[in-house]
Amino acid sequence: MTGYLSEIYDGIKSLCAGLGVTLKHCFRKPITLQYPEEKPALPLRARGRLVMPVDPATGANRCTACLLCAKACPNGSLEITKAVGEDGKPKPRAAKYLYRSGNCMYCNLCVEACPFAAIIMSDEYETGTRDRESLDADLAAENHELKGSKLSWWLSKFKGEEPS
Amino acid sequence: MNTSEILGDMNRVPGASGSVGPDSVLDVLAPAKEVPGILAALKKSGFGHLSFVTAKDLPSENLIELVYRLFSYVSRTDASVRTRLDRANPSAPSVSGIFRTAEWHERETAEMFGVEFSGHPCPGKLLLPDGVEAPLRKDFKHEEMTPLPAV
Amino acid sequence: MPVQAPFELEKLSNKEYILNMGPQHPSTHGVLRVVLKLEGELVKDVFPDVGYIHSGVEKLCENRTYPAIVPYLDRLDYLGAVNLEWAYVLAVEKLCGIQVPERAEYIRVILAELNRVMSHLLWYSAFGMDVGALTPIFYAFREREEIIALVEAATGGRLTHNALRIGGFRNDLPKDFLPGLSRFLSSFEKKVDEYEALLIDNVILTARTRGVGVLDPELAVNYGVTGPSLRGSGPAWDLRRTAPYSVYGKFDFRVPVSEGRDTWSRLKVRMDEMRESAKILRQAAAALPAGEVSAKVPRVLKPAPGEAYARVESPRGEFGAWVVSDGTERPYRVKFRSPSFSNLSVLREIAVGCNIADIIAIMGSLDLVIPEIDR
Repeated sequence: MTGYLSEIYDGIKSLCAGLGVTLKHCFRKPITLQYPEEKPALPLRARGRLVMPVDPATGANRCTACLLCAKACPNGSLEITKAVGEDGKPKPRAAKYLYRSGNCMYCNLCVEACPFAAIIMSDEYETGTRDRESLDADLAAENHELKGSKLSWWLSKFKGEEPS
Repeated sequence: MNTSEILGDMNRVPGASGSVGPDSVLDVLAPAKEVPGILAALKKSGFGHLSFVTAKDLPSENLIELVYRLFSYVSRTDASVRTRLDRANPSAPSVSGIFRTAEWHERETAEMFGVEFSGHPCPGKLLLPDGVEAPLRKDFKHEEMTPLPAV
Repeated sequence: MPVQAPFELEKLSNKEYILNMGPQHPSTHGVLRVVLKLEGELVKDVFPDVGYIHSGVEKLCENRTYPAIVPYLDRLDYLGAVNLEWAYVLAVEKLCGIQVPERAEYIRVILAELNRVMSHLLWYSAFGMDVGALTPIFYAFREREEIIALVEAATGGRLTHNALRIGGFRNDLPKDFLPGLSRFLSSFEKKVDEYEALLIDNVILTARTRGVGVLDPELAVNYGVTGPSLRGSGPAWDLRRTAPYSVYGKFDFRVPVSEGRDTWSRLKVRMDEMRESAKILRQAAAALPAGEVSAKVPRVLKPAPGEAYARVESPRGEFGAWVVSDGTERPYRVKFRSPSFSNLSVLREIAVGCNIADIIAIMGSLDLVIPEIDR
């Protein structure tokens, strides 16, 4: 009989301990972000969609079509065509920089391979679309402009202050 | 039993040759039919944990090399038992009576390399769907395999 | 994949039936199919059927360069990602003879232990949901968000970190990482006590899990079970203690063990592991030396021909990467030894004779992650 009563006592005690935890959490500040209205502040290194930003100093992108990024990509999401001048000689520019964002792992290996800091992973994570073809994009033709702290971080990279 | 005694025992098995590598891994290369005996002896000397059973395809030498990796939590050393099978008809005795973990590892090796483990209690595919045979062999072809840019 | 279970319909007695806990099930923690032979609610036989998410990553790695394989390791066990990358990177560093600077080793320990805490917090939440407790996930995920924010600031990814590189790290930790880490650790152990009081010490859960799924230590070792699932049965085998890799030999921490052998002991071991990880994190953050974070590694890595196997203690047990090199820039063969593969194979031995609800509790206590089983 005493065993039965002590079991009841232990049971009620453990349930009250659990309820106590729940009540304590009732009075904690919620950490929920009301998503589409409030967006999270992403850190600088967050890896969103790949972009080829335009250098504000020169007005053009920094790609020389060296193809190191395509060789570093684990799954072949980058396909680059070198530009060819009127005399038939290749120019250090990308005529077409095909980025298959549907194939991309967002691993950052291409950004790290680039010796000219021509590409960077931006903050864009809302890249949902209804047709698959729009996932493939020509980054050289996009003329993406970085903004804010991401821009100053990118500019500091090719001045040799911090590796990507 | 220390490593040199175990090594001595291994070298006494007909057709086997044991050595200790530079990273202090006890490496034994033996014919396939001696492998269960060797593994049982190693288990008795303290190598109680079988990490994995897998294989390596060597088409240039026409062989498939099976690898059994053991670990002793007592002496904190590794042992690697290898055996070479004929690539056209690879067959080895199952060790799942000695290490029960080998049951699943051998099933996976069998379907990936086309190796037959005789005496296996429950053979059959583990991971692969129907229609895919021995994909980890070097001559496996599939229409979706595409080469990547050379580095 | 779809394999006939080794019990045919004709051999069933007239009270038994076969129930399929199909690949889509909220409690199987992934794409796992378990075929049950039942008599009423009593389980007579269990047949796990894996392979629904087999992606052929071992074959894939034969066509990738050594540095490009690291992101794939994240995807195998997305909860303890840094531990898995560490195993592969250790194996390649062994093959190439690369010595990693000490600061990089300490940062690896910090990230790996943060991953361990993240993994155990998610295990705690998922286990609670499996057995019917829907509250713990909301609380444990708060702590998890704090850790994820820290790791995202350091590596760039919330879950697929791609943090480690062969030779060390690409970038050092950001400046506000260590203050953020000590802020997190200042309140973490109290939270673990709360979470234990909420779920693990709850009378209903103890009644459901004590004495259920008893795993003998000899059977566990024979089946290759490692990690907290093994330590809940007695053997204090933790690779961070028995075969210390990197700088784990310098930290003072206990290996949580339980002699209980049942499901409840495995739960308790994981809660204690979170506390020990917090201890390691404090020590690592305090002892973090200054210096470089990467060794000099050639851009195109071509290790000498040979093979190497490196094993680490991931949150689920021993994860190992066996890398065979033939002297070119792509590996000849890569094999990943995942802990959930062996942990799941013991299910048949411990689950026969209990009820369906107990099967759920047992699978939850084994802490399986299916992608690393199927690779």
